[in-house]
Amino acid sequence: MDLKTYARLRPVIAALARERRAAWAMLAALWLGVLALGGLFGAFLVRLGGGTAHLLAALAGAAALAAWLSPAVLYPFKQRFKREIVKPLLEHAFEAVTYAPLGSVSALDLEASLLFKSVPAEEVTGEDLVVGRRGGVTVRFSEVRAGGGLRQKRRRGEARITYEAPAFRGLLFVADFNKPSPGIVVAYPERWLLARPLIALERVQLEDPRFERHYKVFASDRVFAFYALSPVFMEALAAFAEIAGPLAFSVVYGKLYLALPGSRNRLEPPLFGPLLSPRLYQGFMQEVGLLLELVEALRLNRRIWGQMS
Amino acid sequence: MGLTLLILAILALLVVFFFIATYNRLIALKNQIDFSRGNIEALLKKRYDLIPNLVATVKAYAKHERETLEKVTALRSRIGQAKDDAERFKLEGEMSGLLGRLLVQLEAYPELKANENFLQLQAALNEIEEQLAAARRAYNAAVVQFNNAVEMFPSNLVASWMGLKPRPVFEAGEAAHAAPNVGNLFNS
Repeated sequence: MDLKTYARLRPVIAALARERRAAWAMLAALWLGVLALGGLFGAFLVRLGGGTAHLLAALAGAAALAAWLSPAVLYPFKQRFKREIVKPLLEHAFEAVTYAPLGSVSALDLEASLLFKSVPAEEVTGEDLVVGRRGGVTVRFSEVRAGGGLRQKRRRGEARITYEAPAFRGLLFVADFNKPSPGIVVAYPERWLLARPLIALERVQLEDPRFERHYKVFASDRVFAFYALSPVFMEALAAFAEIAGPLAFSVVYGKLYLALPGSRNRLEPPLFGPLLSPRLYQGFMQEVGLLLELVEALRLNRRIWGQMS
Repeated sequence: MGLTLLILAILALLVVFFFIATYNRLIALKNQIDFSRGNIEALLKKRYDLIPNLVATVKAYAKHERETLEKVTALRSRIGQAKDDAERFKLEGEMSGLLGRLLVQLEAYPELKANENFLQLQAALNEIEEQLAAARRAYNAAVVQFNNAVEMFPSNLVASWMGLKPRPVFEAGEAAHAAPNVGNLFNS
């Protein structure tokens, strides 16, 4: 974000900082109030003949209730932040953009990417859907959580509850890949030692040693891997891995999928720390900016050689 | 005595395994080069077939590019008569550079840019060039892998027994290295 945009947004940020303080005050009041009610109820139980356990149970119940209500207290601040800060930041980064804080890329996108094992559509949740155009390339991305959580499994007739790690959690980015040749390329970070493609693909070694240090590439056809991964694109992907960390990506029949793992929602407002610091907003869009640089690399390829629009 | 024989047998077995594995790997690498070369040849054939259409379409509009068009036609004819693959690939490299420069120069002809036939040809040639660039990179990567195996110890022992020699990588022709004359474009 440039200083001009920051200067334009500063009054809104200042108002949001006040709203955040008010939200925290309301949250503190909620906890104190609910815990006090829980304590009174516990004391009433003790008076009726209960023990310390009853008092503690009443307090624990009150804490659970307060924890359940807390997101609702912070929700208006978060939504206003997304509407009044995140949306203008995105509008600054894209030529045309639609932002839906409660939307998500579809479960089919995750499945079509061929990057992660498929999970039932109802187990794919997400937020902060962004659909935009940059340099004539249409992109969409959102935070996604696919699968995971507690599951019941039967082993020899005996039911067992096990915890399963999510198939993917992080930012899923989908862009048009304007190359007419059909083919599949799937790449995982080199450090994901056990990651293997879900379908039978050939391991391909590319000529860029910097890129090869960060990624292992599998493709339906060796030449297609070289075709999809142009030198400019490989350089952009290597730079991305060095700045933002591991990234899995695939090119599947005209679509580019980029999966940036992480448990932190990148477009979520900070609940602590200074809200007015310009550094915060520079870091805020850094990963999105890096993803858009990859799109620039794609656009560059198209402008030099690709389809005539 | 028995133990010595056992050790010798294990060593012999290891040597046989190494020999078989290296032999198969070298054959796979050699086949990969041949396959990549086949891809390049198919694309070059496609481009070779498109050139007469391009020349015929451009001739009527771009009269100032007569010299370049004649060079393209002459080069195409030399490609058709090339004695061996090395010469043909060298000439094809020159053709890539020449066509690239021609397409840039043709940007200066608005009537040509409005011609649907030319636009389709330009798109087809651009696409073939891009596929060709990828196929060359794939070929060169295969050659580098093969050459490493042929020259590095201990696989070079098996390679020399098989009579395998390092292969040359595909290089762009001189015309591809030559920078286009941007001044001419501004003057036109």
